[in-house]
Amino acid sequence: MASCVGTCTLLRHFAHRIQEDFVLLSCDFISPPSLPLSILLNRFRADSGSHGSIATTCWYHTTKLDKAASSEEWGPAAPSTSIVWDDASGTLLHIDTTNDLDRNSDELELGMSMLSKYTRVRLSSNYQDSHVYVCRHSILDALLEKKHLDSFREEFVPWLCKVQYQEVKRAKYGHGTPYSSQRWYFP
Amino acid sequence: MVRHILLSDGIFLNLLVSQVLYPGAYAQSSQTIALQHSTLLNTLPLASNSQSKVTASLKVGIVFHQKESGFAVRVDNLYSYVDVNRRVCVRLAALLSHLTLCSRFPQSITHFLPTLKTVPL
Repeated sequence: MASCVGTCTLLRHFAHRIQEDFVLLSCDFISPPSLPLSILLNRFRADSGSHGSIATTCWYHTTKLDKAASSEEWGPAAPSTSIVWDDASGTLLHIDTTNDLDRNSDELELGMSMLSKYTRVRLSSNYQDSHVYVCRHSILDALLEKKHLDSFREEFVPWLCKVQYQEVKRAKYGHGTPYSSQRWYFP
Repeated sequence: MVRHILLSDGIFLNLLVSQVLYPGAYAQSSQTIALQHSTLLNTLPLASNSQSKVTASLKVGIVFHQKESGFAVRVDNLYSYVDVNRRVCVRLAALLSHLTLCSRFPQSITHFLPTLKTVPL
């Protein structure tokens, strides 16, 4: 496969070999002993049992670059990513991607459906994605349907964040999860 | 679906008991009551298969790692690579300077120390 193939394409290619929930992580993330993988796994287990969580991700606080360490020859440093989350439930709601920045670099565009569902949210650009995800197996079904998405971090996860508060999409992709298939509605 | 069957059986059983207990009063209205129950069932959410399942929230959970809890970084660009390299050099220099204070540590190792200290950060 070509070297520019994104994570989504790779996951689609090997989807038939992934039989259960899985952990997706990069080999370039250095974490301290105070951040073991078990923290993410425990959060995923708790959320998937009570809220029907489909994925759990980890964002770390960025450190400011030393001016002496930066060099103009290397070009500009990567821009910070703005994220919106609900602190009470620990839900990631919006990721401002580079595509969003290209479309509108002056303003942060947030959907009204998100604000109507989560009235008190937090916004920050001090965190970066560690590219460590604990994923439910049903995420592969969504990946197989969204064949045009290539980057997991830049395209798929931002799209997945919007599905949570869009009723039509949630109804479309939510029935495939074991969470929904085991529960019935009794008035 | 199971509850729908149970509910129907319950109504059917109810009708039978009513007919046995009150045959006179029930004779004229049994069809009307049955019709009312059947239309009532149509309004229950269970009657529609599309509404029988609760959609999962599809929540994307997030775990934050604060700066105070330890240094974490993703080494995916030159800036973060230099930052990690600088931190490793500083830690190594501190470690070696500590070791040179110990009399049991061989002095031949200390020749690395000036090199590490002059690494451009």
